[in-house]
Amino acid sequence: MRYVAGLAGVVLCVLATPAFAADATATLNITGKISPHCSISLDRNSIDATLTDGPGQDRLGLSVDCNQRLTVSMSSLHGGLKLRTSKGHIDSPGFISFLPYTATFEVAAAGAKPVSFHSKRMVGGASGSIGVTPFHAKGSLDLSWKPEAPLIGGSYSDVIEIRVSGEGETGFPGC
Amino acid sequence: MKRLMIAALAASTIAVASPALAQTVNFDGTRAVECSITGYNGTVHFGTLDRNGASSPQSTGNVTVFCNQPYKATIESTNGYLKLQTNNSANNSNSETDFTSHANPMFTAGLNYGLDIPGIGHGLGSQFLTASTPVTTPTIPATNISGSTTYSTVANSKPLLGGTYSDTVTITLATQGV
Repeated sequence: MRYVAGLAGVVLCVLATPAFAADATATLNITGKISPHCSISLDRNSIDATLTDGPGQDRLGLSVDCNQRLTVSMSSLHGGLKLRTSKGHIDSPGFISFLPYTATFEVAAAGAKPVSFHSKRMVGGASGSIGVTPFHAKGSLDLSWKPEAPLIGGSYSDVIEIRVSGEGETGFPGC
Repeated sequence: MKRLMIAALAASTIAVASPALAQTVNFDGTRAVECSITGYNGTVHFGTLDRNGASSPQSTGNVTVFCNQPYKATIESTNGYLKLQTNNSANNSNSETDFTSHANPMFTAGLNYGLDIPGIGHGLGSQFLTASTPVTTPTIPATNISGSTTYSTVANSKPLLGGTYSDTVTITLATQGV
């Protein structure tokens, strides 16, 4: 009898085990991280344009790679092409010694929007989104200008910085 | 506690700036230096001068001066005045400033003239020019101008010897850099 009672106790214990497991559910949260990444590579780092007194343009090829929607920031040192001179101010009415231009950043990716700025707006930096995530995409920086008056003869220069970054959407949806 | 830690991790990830890469482009341009005067070559005919050399001012065709840097103009006259063309040097003027004919003291054998050249200057004249001695202007701002060049004679107090009078004026432009 004592043996039977002991067996019954073991059976009860085994039957009770599933009920105990249901009350102790463990949740395992698994997260992963893909580092945000945006990069730009220019075909060359200089543009040397032959200027006339008429409109002109030049193009610089580039490559971008980004795992987020790409935002491009462009800044200009002078806000336009500035005459290199050792004489300070050139007083020649009817002529100009400063040539503003328009810079357009464009990526060959489906749905990508060109981002365009006037050079004067780029002095403090100007940024815009192309609206898509370019993966190993080609693109271009197009520069165009249209002098409003004849240019003083000589050399002109500006420095453009192009910075690419993601729009800040990090890869942790639901967290 | 575990959930709290994960939330904190996500928040910190959002706050971290996305990596960015910048590239720099040196954007240079060159506007060729141009400096020219066109439409100036030619011959100015004053026509028939009156006894003392007065004439109607003569304007040449369209002269264009285009110089896209500040420049100086150099003007050079062959004779320094309108000189009588003669094979007999005795008929010549006493000097560039005294036009009295050496052999004909009641007459003159030379004549001053004035010229206005767009982009170069107004009120220029042979009285400021010595034969074959270049005269250079002060620096002139870059210029893009078209107009006519006007020549006029300056009558003498004595009559002119009959004959033909001539001079050649050469203008040279030189940019001064920026």
